[in-house]
Amino acid sequence: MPDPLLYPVTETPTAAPTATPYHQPLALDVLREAIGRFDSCTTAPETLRELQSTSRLLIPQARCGVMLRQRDGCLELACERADPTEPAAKALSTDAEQGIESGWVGLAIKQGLYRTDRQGEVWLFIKLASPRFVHGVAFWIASSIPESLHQALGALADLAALRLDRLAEPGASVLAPQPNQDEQRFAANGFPAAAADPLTGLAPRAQFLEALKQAFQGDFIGHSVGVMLLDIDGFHRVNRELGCVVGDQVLRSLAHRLETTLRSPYVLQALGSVSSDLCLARTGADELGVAIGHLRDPDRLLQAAAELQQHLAEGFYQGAHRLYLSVSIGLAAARPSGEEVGAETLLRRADAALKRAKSLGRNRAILYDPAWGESVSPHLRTESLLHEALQRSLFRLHFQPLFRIADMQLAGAEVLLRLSTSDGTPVPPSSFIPVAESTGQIAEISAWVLRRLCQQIRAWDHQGPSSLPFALNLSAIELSQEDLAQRLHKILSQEGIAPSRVHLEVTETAIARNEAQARDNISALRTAGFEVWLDDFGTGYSSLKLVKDLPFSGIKIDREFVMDLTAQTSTAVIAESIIAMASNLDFQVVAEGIEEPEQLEFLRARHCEIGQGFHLGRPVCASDFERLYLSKTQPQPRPEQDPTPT
Amino acid sequence: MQPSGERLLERLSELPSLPAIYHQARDALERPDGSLDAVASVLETDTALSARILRVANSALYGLIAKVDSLPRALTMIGTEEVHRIILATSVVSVFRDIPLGAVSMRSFWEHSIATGVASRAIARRLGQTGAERFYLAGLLHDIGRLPLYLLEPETMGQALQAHREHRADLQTLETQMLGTTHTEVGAALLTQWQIPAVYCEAAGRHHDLGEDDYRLETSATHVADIIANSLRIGTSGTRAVPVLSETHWRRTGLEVDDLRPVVELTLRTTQDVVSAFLEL
Repeated sequence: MPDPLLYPVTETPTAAPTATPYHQPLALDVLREAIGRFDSCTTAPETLRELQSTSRLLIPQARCGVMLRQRDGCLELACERADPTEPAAKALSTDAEQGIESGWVGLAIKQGLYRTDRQGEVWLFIKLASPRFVHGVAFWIASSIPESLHQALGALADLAALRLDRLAEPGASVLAPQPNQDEQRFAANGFPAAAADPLTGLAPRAQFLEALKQAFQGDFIGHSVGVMLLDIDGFHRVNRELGCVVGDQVLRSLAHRLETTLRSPYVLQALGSVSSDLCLARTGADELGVAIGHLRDPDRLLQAAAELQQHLAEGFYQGAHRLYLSVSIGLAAARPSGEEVGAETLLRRADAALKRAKSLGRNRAILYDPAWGESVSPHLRTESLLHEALQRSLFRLHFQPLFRIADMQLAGAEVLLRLSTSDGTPVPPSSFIPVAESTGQIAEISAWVLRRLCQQIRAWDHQGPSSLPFALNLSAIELSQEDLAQRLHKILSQEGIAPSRVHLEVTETAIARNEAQARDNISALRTAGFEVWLDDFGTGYSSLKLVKDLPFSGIKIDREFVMDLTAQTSTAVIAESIIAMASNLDFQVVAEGIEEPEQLEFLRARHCEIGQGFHLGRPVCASDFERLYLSKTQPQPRPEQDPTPT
Repeated sequence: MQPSGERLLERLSELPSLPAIYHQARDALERPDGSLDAVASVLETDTALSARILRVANSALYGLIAKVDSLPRALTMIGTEEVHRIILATSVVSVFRDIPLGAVSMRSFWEHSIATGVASRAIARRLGQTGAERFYLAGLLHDIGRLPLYLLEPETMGQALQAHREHRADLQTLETQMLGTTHTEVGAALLTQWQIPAVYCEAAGRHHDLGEDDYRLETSATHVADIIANSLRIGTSGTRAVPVLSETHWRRTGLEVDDLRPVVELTLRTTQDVVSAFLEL
């Protein structure tokens, strides 16, 4: 809908068919006067006062008010009086509400002008707009308003709107009424007017702090005040690698996405707040903050944070680049009546939570826990490729068969993760796993792996039920997470797969990262029905103690001991004693890295139970695994023709 | 339409097309000797799609009492006509689900679309219309034309969104000014190109029309549902303003003001579950 100046001043007033000639000279004089007066206005309230006083020259007996559009899009009455409790101001505010509720204001915005008769009075609403911005609606109520004055009033409104436009430059923020006016109505959502952040259009840091302080002064019975700090992971890389123009655009897109999500009914419902309780601000170069008043339950902050992350996970399409960004979110809440906490403390806590979220591998939300001490560690990089791989299913599972050495029956398979870039170039695990571990994406990746494995198991079981187990590697990061067993168990029960079908392999190094948590996790996993194997046995430091203390199902002898088995006597002795020790302790043993028939014979002679290696079968994709090892004929090891490792 | 708008319509073929499986399933459905078993066996070749169909069939959208765990059973429960719509809906959402956009997330786009579908369906139910799912699909697809705009003209649409945010004009006006076409025009063209039944093309093409005309009920219900979804702020296809209500469409639906509350409540209650059925694992 084109939105030109609705009432060009130059138009001859006699064009109005019902014009009373008597009004015209006065109207023109008033307009001439107004042009001069508006020009000297330096603030928005002054402009509005001028609009009201000049219009009184035309209709002296009318009540006149102006509703301005606020930052959140709502219209609020701009009071010109100092005391909003004064009866005349109250009446005006009732009029304004009625105008909004009855839809007249909406019609005025749509049509430019709306006039109606009500209880013996004429109500006239005129849009206050320039070609670039709708500022609000002005209205006049009087026992009579001659229709011939419509054009003149419209022209006044246009002049005022143009002035408001000019006053709004360069920040282009919505003009709020002056702060010392009507506190009760305006303070609630118009925090004192400060220029919006020019890049994102969000509130600036100062306003965020002010909003937070105000939230602490509100009425808190049963409510808390909350803070969310959102930091874009590795954002400096976007600027560095793609340039600041792209960086700025991405930042703006991200801010807008977050704002839309934050104000959706589901997020507001979770928080127990209404839109005007929230202030979303740009609090740093690549950091956004949300101040939340009237928060019902601090735990719900996590739910809201998850919702926000969901809207970023799909990535951004920006200037021919596909970018996958994640945010780390620090959350804190306080119930001011109960604790001696102010805005500053709350902010510091949210910041501590944010740092912790970063150090735990990013792309996560952490709620501040008063039990924390002063820790918090380094910070790590995020990697777009892995993000993209997760989003677009670029990962594939490969399966390497395990055989019972005694009779060469298939005993299971180790599941290995393969990644190719979208153009098909394979990325070796040795290059992406460490990155995934350092960014924390490993947890998301392994959840994907487990889910995919379950689907594969289900598909194979569909063709012929079996109890064949599949072994997965657990990373150090996951092993030091608190809810590991629950998380894995939940995935299995959703997918309908028994935990006994999944063997989890952990390394000694991984256990050493956070030994206490790892112990708890391993016990919990065993209780949940998983088998847990100690992988790469013999290469770590505390092997024997671990084997003694932890409820492992079995151990895997590291390939290093198998490799030199037939060449070095010392290696053979070590291998032999590991096998003997394991059988005494009633552990199952898998020998990894069998590449030659001699190695197999050696292990068979020592009653090593299970073997794995290129000599027996390489890792292959699911369909090859099915064809080679799961077909109805007796599965046999498939020694590799070409033993060069890939 | 300006030449740039025409050029944009010519580029619709650059977009991902509907998956072959949709066409196969549609053929199987339309064959005179076709059976639901035949359709099921076509669909089962695409495990991702059939899993998605099962999830949607079990979502709050259908409100089935017993959980449906197999595709043939789902197809029997919801009926042939509906099977076509559900395949279409899941195919369209799946085609675009994982493509990143800019300031409007794809997720937000589908949230808005699904909320509009749910509201449109609630309106149809309220009016005692049969085939309420036709209304759902009309609502789901009503803003589909925004996706080609975002995907083919990301820069210009980014500027349009920014201008819209700064209250310079409503988004559709900006589309006309900056691209010489609108999402309604593009949406109708895209659906026509996909050979989707005319009722959906009209809803996509005319849900913002304000003139007097003999609109289909689906179009008018979508017009009202779009206003409801925007007012509730469930997701967005880009606009931050609630579209203008057309008297003609409102009268055409025959809704009373009192009907709105139950429609809004049902929309709020149902949408979240339907969104996760369509978008999540």
